[in-house]
Formats: sequence, C-alpha cells, structure tokens
Amino acid sequence: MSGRRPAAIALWASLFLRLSARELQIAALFVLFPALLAVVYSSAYGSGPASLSLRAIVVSGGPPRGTVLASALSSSSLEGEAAVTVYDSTDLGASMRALRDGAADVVIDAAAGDGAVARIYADPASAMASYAESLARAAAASAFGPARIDPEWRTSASFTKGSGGANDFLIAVPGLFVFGWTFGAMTTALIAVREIRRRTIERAVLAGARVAGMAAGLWAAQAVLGLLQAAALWAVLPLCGFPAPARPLDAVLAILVLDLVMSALATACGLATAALCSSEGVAVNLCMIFVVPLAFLSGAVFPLSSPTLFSIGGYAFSATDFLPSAPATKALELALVRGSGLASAAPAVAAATTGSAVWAIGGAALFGLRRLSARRRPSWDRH
Amino acid sequence: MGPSLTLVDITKRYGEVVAVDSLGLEVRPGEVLGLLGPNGAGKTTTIGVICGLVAADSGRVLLDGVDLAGSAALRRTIGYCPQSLVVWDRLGCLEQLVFMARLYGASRADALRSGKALLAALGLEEKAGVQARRLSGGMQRRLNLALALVHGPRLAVLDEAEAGLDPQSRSLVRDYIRGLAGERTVLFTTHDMDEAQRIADRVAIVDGGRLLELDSPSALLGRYGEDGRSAPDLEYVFLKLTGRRLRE
Repeated sequence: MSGRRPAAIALWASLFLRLSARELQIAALFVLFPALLAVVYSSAYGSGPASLSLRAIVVSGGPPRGTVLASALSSSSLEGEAAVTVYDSTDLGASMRALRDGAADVVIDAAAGDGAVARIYADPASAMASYAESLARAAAASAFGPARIDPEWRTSASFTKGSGGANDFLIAVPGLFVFGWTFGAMTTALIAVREIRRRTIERAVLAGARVAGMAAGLWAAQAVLGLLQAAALWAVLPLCGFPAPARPLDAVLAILVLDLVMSALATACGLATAALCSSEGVAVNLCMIFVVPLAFLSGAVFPLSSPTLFSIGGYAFSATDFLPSAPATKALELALVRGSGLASAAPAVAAATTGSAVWAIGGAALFGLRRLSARRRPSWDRH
Repeated sequence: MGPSLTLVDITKRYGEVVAVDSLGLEVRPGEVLGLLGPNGAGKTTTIGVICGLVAADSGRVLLDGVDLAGSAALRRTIGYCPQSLVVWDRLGCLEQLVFMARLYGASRADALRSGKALLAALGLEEKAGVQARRLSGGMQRRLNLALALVHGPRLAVLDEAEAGLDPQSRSLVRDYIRGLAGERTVLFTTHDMDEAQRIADRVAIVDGGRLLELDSPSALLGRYGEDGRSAPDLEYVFLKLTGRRLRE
C-alpha cells in the first residue's frame, strides 16, 4: 500500500472529507464563515467605490522630499487609473481637519522632520493606514532608493479618529480568503486529534500508513473544503458591493493556486498541533499559536506594517517574512483588487508557496515522529 | 496454515516499571493461544510489541522465523483487535471495513467482498450502512473485531475481543474465533477463564511480565489438581499461579 502513494492519498482524502462532512456544524461554520465576515465587513464599512484611488494630502515643508514623494505617489496606478489623488498642502492642521471631515482618506506628512521620511495619519483600525503606508513606502523607495533597509526612510501611522472607511472593504477582501484558509488549521487539528484520541490512527499504523500519504490526503481534503469556502465567499462578494475583478480569470486562477498553497500551510499547522496534544479542547487552544500570527500578524485580517525582527547581510527580516499568509494576501490583493495580472502576483505566490512548503514539511515530520513512530509515540495502554 | 509466532526474551520498561520481563513464548502454526494474566500482567504491552505499536527495549518477535522488526510487509499480515473500541464513529460499518481493507492494499471489489462477508459472519449484515455511533455496544465490539480481520491476516491478535458482549454475541464471536484456527494463528487475551478454556488450544499464564505456565487447558487442570484429581477449572489454576492479591 505504501508503495501506491496516489491511492493512499485518495483514500485518506476521501476519509477526511467524509468525516468533515458529517460534522455538520464544523463543516458549515468553516465553509461559510469568511462569507459571513464579508457581509459583516461590508455592513460596517460599506462596499466603497469600485476604485481604490486614495485621496491623499501630502503636507510638505517644500522641496525636495515632499515634492518628490507627491510626484511618486501621483504616478502610482491601479487598474489603469491613478491610485492616489494627491493634494498638496503646507498646513498640517487644515489637512487633519479635512481628514476628520472625510474629505481625504489619508494625510501624509512629509515634513515631520523626526527621522521618518513620512508620517501617515489615517485610522489604523481601517485598512487605509496600511494601504497608504504601502503606497508611500513604494513611492519613497522609487523616489529615494530602497526605503525598507534605511531607517532614515521609516514611515509610521497614527490613529485619527473618524478617518478612513471609504475603501476598507475592498482592502479587506483578500484577507478574508486567506483568513478562511488559515483557519483550516483548526479543522485539520480537530480531525487528526480525534483520530489519535479514538486510536483509529493505530489501525493506520498497523496497516503501514505513512505520514506522507496521510498528510497529503488531509491536504487534499482541506483544499476541497477551502475551495468550497472560497466559492461561498466569491458568491457573496457581489452582493456586498465588491466590484468584479478587472481580470476575472486571473483572479480565479490566483484563488485556485493559493487555495492549494494555503491548505498545505493549514494542514501543516493542524498536524503540528495534533502532534503536541491529544484532546480536542487543547487542540483548539494550541492551534491558535499558529492561526493568530498567520491571520493577524501577517496583515491578512488587519493590515499591519510588520516591524523588523533582525537583519542579515543588509536585508531586514520582519515577521511577515516567516508567515506565508502575508505574501498570499499580497498576491490576492494584486489579482483580485488591483486588477493586476497573475504574472504580477507570481512573485508573491512563489513566496507563499516556498514558505508553505517549509511549514508543510515541518508539520508532517513532527506528526510522523510523534504519532506514527512506535519508539516516540506516547503509549496509551500500559498493562 | 497460519504462521508460527515466537517471542524471544522480550523486555519492556516504562520508567521504573517493568511491564514485560524477558518474556519468551511460542505460538504454533494455526493454533489458538490464550494469553491470560491479571490486570497489569503485561498482556497488552506484549501484544503492542507483537503488533509494532510498542517498541520493546530488548528481544525479538519472529513470524515463521522471520524477525518482524525488519519487515513492514510481514507486520501487515497481523490483524489486531484492541481491547478498547477503535472504530470511526461517523463511518458506516461497511464503509470503514472497506477503508481498512483498502489501506492494506485490497482492491475496492475485494474490500467490499471481504467487508460484507465479515459483517454477515458477525451478525452485522443489516447494519452495513449504519454509522458506528448508532450501534449498540455489543455491535460496536463485533465491528471492532471485524476491522482487525478484514484484510485477511495470517495472525490474529485479539485483546479482550469478547469483553462486554452478551452471551449470544459471545457465543457467535467464540465460534468465529474457533473457526479461524488452522488457516490462521490466533493469539487472544481474556479475563474470562471459561471462554479461554473453551476456545484455546493452549493457554499462557503471565504475571509481572513473566511467563508462568504454557500448556493446554486440560494439561494444566491435571497438573494443578490435588489429591489425584484434576483442578475444577482454569480459574482455580490461574489463581493458584497468580495468587489472590488484588492488582492495580
């Protein structure tokens, strides 16, 4: 059996899918919750305009920094249109009033003069702060050089009550897909832990089952559930006012590929959880060790700028470099929201794939060592 | 004919506790051997070692003279029925039998055939499509046994397979296990001395992880009788060998 890997994968996938489908509460919740979140988000923020064009006020103390930044921001494009409508100002107070009145989405103070290349004011609870920051970073990088590795060119965001809101829903949608897939870690962990607790995994061990076949089967099942989840979300998006992607085929392809990639990641996290605990209650809590960083610290759910953790050879590593959900969100944002082609999203997809592959190997290996090896596995019966 | 099973000097410790202590045992080809012992005697650990679920600290397990440690394929010729219920709650009876048979490499058609035959033999034919969680305790135990045998193992290792069965079910299972003899070798554990006496060709009595006796029930009854008379039953022999002190 172990030699017939495809058959083993199909067997396990079929088993896990049937078990998942018969846990109706879990299956329904897992498949539907991103779609429900989309409804909540659109109700809270409104569906927003069909364009992500941002109304930015660049407060400049004069050339060169403010002018160069404003020029770089003006040249950003989105779906063939200007990504940012830039208004120049020299009065920070008046700009902030405009922000609070909803006349602008973001204020970028290029005259802050405290070592930051720009200070961004928006509502961090909205996605705009992070979105504006990413545009400002890109503009600063193109205007001044590699902004990321030079502390001189830091940007920062501050809370400005009542600001933002116009485009939050559009920015949040890619994260909903990724958040949903990431949550697959929970369903995988519950299924795997149940196999352990009920000792049905013993039967698999006796049959010579190998971790690769089991993990691949779980991955396949997770990918099918993830696809159902993505389809439910896709179906509800137009009802929430989400505009059709500029390149629908590219968007669908990106979702298909990222479903596979993120399902592998979720499977790995679920297996790692199941390797470390043997009750459902503990699994649900332990699984959060993986889900929280992947969903929340990666910027998938709430766009965040990730602080630098350490630098090697001039490259500054941030938390997002270790969280495949971050490039996955980026790739979906490009394909789904910004209307870029799949080719533009390819580097981010590749980064997500590489990261997920590393996680998948680690999670499966840990599960195999802890649960399928007679020498290492904890004994249940000691008579 | 079923294979011979030989345990050579098996030892297994859990920390300070010696669960199995230099245990040596030979099960003859096609024989039904009952492994008897009080709670904590090392029966389940011994079975775990035979099936590869527990790694022994030392010793060897041979099937037809071949060391099981070096052969995953040979290990898959063993069918193991655990003491506790190990079934998929939300799978139908036939569904899980087919899954197990296929996991062992059977084709779908063979798996279906084998699954249906076992369900019929163990009185579960009408429950083929019923999920395990909807079965009675006795039916679940019969399903537990069927899952161990669905791939047609040459050696059946049954850990208290009859525990919790009513007399009707016990009779059915007993006859079925007896029917396996010859074509398969059977090693079973039980706390029911009457059952052991009825089913087993020979019984091995263990305690403290060591083998105390190995012989046919009738030979043991004769050996441990008093005043020129046979012992009244196997329980008498068992208590004489292992004492009346409560365990665990």
